[in-house]
Amino acid sequence: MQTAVSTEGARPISAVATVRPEGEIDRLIARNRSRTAWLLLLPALAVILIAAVAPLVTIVWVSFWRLDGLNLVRTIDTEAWRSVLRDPTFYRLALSTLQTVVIVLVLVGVLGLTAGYFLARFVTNRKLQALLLMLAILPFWTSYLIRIITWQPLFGNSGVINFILGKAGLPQMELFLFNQRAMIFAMTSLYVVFVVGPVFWALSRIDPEVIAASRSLGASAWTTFRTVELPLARGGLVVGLFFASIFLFGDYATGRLIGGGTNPMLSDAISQYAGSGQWPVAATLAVVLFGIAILVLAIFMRVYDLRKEL
Amino acid sequence: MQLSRGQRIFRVVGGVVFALILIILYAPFLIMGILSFAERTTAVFPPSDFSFISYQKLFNPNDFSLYRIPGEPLVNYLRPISLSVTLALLTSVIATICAMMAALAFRERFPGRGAVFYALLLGMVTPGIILGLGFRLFADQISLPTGWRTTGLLTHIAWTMPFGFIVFLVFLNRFDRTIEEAAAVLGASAWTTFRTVTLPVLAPAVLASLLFGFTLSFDEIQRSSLVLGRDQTLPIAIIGATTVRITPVLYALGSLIALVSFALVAFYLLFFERERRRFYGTTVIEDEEETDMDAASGPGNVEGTPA
Repeated sequence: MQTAVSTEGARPISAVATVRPEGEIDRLIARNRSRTAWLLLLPALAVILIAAVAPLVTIVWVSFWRLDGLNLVRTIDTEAWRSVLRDPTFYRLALSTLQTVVIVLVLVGVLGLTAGYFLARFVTNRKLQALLLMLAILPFWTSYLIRIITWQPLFGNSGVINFILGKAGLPQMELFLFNQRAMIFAMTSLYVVFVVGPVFWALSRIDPEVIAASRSLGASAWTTFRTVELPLARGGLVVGLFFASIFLFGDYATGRLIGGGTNPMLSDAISQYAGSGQWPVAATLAVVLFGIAILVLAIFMRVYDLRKEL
Repeated sequence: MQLSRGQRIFRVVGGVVFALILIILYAPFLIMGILSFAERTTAVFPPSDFSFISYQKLFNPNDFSLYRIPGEPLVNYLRPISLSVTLALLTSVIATICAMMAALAFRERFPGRGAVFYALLLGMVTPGIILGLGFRLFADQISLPTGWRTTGLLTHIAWTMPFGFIVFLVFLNRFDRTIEEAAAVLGASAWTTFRTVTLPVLAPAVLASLLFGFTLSFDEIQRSSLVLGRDQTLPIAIIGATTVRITPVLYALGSLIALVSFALVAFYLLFFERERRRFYGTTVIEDEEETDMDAASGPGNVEGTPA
């Protein structure tokens, strides 16, 4: 049907609107919003591109270069890869890194879960609960380097622990420094803070009536924990372990200061090869470490999609 | 509720584990405080001689008459401290702005959203030493001189920004967009809406992001060691000093840093609590439903204050 508007040049809004086919306005808005989104993303993406994506690409690239004296030669050479893959110490290094990470994560997970569960279920005073939670997460905000340098006076042969043991008339402890056990213990103490908080929050979000329902239907406390609380708190546990492993994989300082380099991690080896200018080997090890780290993080994401926690 | 035997046992075990965690978390600070007053060595406990000399050394790094221990490293920590503070402040501000803009973008649906999400987290999930090495090599290739102003700052922003990004996402997902629309309907421009509506609601997130940015940058060593060139931040100076010899000066430094950071976090928590009360009422979020029901069943209880 012909509409009899727009005779005198001035076009009413309705005419403009009806000219456009159905849905185009929505599409225009969508396009506009998408453009705004990309503009807002620009600074963040630029930083990531320069300081994360480009370095990662460079690592892969340099792992195929060759070292000619002190100079890097840009070629395609598998020299670094072959030397790394042929070297039995590399496999020991990768294995011990993975082993250390897994042991620390298990310890951190079990201890963090226990502590978080205790705090959420057995500390009934709200004020005390808040205070204890704050105490448990506060050290995260302080320098971890500062904390690990007190390890020596704490655990050294004439350190605090042996002083206390001696005062109590107990036998002195053997050296708890510069070995893998000490390193794992130190890392556990450093990274357990990541798990306690998230586990506590996840547990305290569970509706008490769900637990009451489980118990009243005859499930024991253990069965309730295993079948109701643990699955519901899984998110918190995975968040904690995810962040712990982010720090763990790159942590070379703890291994050096407390492990004494006896059981080096891949990260420590990378930093040492880089320090002596062996860039292609360092890059090759970095590619391997990146692969391991992403694999572990992907397993976490598979166990629990962390985007659900956002 | 009556506790079963297993639960009673667990309560004891859990309590012991929790106490042990607190001890292992705080014992280092206590020991550090005590040792910072030791005059000579820190390897023996308890120290036999007490003095303030370490603090004096810390603040008068050029007064060589204070250094009387043979083989003691002469380290001036004041310059690394000021560099670390500058770098951390810059990092936290820039990273927070980038993170907030990115998180605001994520309220829209746009093509490539999923891929961008993972890309933004790359600076956080990649093991630090890899990014340090990679950026160092990349900077060499494009002839970018390494130093704290260039590679250092960028590395620190890429490291801390994802933390802020996540914080903002968490806040924005619980953010009621209708209040923005209300402002827009009432004639506020996009910028005014952001400034007067969105930003005040996001204030706790902004502070959290700034705090993350500052502490993570201040403490960063994994990626910094290779990208700072000749500049020395505090963690680099500390790790350099430990390879020579750990002296009481380090513990004096550590004690002061710990005190300042505890004070900073305490201040933040107080602010956070105040903001939470301002925007979300005095009730704990879990209790809100109950309070609503109470309010519905009877008049009064406008403030929603629990007994």
